[in-house]
Amino acid sequence: MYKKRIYRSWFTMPAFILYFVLFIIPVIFGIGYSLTNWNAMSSEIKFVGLRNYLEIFNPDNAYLLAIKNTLTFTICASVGKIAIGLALALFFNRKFRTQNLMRGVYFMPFAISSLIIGMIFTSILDPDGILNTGLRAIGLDAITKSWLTNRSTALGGVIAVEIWKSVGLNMVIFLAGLQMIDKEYYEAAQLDGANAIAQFRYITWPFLRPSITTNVILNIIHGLKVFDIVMSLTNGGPGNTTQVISTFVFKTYGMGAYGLSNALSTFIFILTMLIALAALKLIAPKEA
Amino acid sequence: MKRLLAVLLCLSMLLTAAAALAEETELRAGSTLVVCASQDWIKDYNRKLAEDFTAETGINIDFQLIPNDQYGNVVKAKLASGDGVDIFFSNPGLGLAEYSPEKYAYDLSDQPWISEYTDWALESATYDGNVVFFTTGSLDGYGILYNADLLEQIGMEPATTYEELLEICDALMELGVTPIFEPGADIWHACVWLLETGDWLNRKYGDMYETLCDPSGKFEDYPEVITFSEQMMELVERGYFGEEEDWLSQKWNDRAEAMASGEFGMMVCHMSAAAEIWEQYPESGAEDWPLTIIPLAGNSTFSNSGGSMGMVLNKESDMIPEALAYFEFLARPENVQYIYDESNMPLITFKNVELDLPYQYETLMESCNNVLGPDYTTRIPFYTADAIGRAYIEMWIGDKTPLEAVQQIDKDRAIMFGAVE
Repeated sequence: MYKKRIYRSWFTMPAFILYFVLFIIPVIFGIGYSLTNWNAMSSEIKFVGLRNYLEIFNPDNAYLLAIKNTLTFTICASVGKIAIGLALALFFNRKFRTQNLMRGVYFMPFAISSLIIGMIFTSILDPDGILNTGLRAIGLDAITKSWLTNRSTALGGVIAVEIWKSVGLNMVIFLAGLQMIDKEYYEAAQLDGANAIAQFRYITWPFLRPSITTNVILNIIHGLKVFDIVMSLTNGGPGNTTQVISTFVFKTYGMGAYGLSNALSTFIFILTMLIALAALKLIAPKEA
Repeated sequence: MKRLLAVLLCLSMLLTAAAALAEETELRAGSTLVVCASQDWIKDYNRKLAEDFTAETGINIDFQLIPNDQYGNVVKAKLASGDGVDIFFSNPGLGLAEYSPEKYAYDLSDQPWISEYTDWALESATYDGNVVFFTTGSLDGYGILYNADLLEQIGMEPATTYEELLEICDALMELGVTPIFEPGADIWHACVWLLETGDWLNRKYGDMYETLCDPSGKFEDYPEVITFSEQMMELVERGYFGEEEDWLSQKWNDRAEAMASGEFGMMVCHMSAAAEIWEQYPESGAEDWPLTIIPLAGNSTFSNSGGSMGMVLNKESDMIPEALAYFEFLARPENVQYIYDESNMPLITFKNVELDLPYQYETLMESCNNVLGPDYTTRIPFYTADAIGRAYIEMWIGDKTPLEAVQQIDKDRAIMFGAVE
């Protein structure tokens, strides 16, 4: 620790003020509006307490389905991205020709707009799209489906596209973690007769915990806020089958029910915060 | 000397004032008018006229196209955030209610081209006593367009009752044809079926539109609406839409190819959309296909949208003179005639246009015995395509009963009324 401070603490004020004005204040206002009946039809705003939140948890509405879909999406997409991202990172951690090119290829989907990816995959997953055409060509007619309009596969299709899009980011974070591990540990382990699985379990995995924590937190936050990939692939359909909380925020905002829309946004905010903090506590490595 | 100075000062003040005034009324060449529309509403002739306007005035027209299902939500978000929308489209009459017209709709009542509107166009272009729409649409609405060749093969005429419709559909299925093309991927389309009951039910009850203009008015209170919804459900249950996976992925933009292919016996569409089928597939003979009213639940009149979608000038736009100039340009007789000739619409909102009525208009008027009137979108607020269409899609896939779908429609309208107390 520095005994003599180089900068005064008020040097942080500009950043703090900016953060406070652009983030904290809007959040506080949003929470406040969520307790009102603010809507586009009336200039009068009345305090209604927790009524908007009761609407969210009303079983007659589709918001509970959206919450379920959001949680399903978050869990499945996170597990998929972390598992595949880790596998790719382990594979690309070895030296071979075209290593950097291949890393770039797997990272590229993350750099493409979700809207573009949605448009591309809407075509690929169409009943007469490339996927089904390919399956028919190899005699697998029986498993062809309308992937995004069949109620049993629509959400799975969205999750699969999300994994394809974002696995590259997880891979890059894991690669950075792997490259921080001193090679001497592996050499020593090999001398002691440890096989690849033992090396992974006792060396790689513990040292990767910070990277795993980072990926878990980022994936959870992203999953709970998901909007663009769902809108571009299915628009929440068929019916409300793939609706998530954010698409309902958009829908209720478009209907002019601003108070309800703010309540849904506040709900995501609180849920994200609680789950991310819990994940951080459970997964983050304890410092010695 | 002092006197000369005073005179010079006054002159310079006058010149400055004149310059300021000139700046306000002079059109700004090089500026851009932003027009928000759904992806299907801007045709080639609209773009051609926009180019001509730009060539004449130097003002650019930027058509910002939004996917059909998201149009309403996106435009409302843009208006609320002040996102530079100068002109936007809306359903005429009370269809404008969801866009906060008192805040965003510029009053066009004093524009010179208003006197050229037909009576029905003027009625639909008016909101709350003011003319707020510029529209070059047709008196149009939705009906069932039949593939005449397939009808001939099964030896039947277009249905005048629901029972006849079922017989036609059964005969088409025996022929190996999917009876009804329903673009399930475009959620909004599911709302147009019920849309066609408006005039019929308002005539029957006398005050249905007035009742539904109040937050307490509900579609659920009308048994015919429930019956209509149940019959919509029955069409799906009988397999007339085809496999669920297939009709849910069918798109409105695929209609021309789908109907011209002969794979489908009929579809619900409007007259202008029918015209596009034979434009793209002239060999289909679609110009001779009959269009008739939707006969579910005893519906017997033709509900129409007046002048169809119209343009509204955003009161908060800082391009008002330019937008008014654009409307004035479009309203010129030669441009109105051009729009009519290119669009294949049956009618148009302006007088003194050489009309060429299509066959679909004749069959439609015959099927309703020339009894027609305004539909829900022009007479009641919050007949919102996305919300109503989604409720019916949920019904068709079995997530809701017909009654629950109608209740959902009422609930969504109540939210939009701000009636949740």
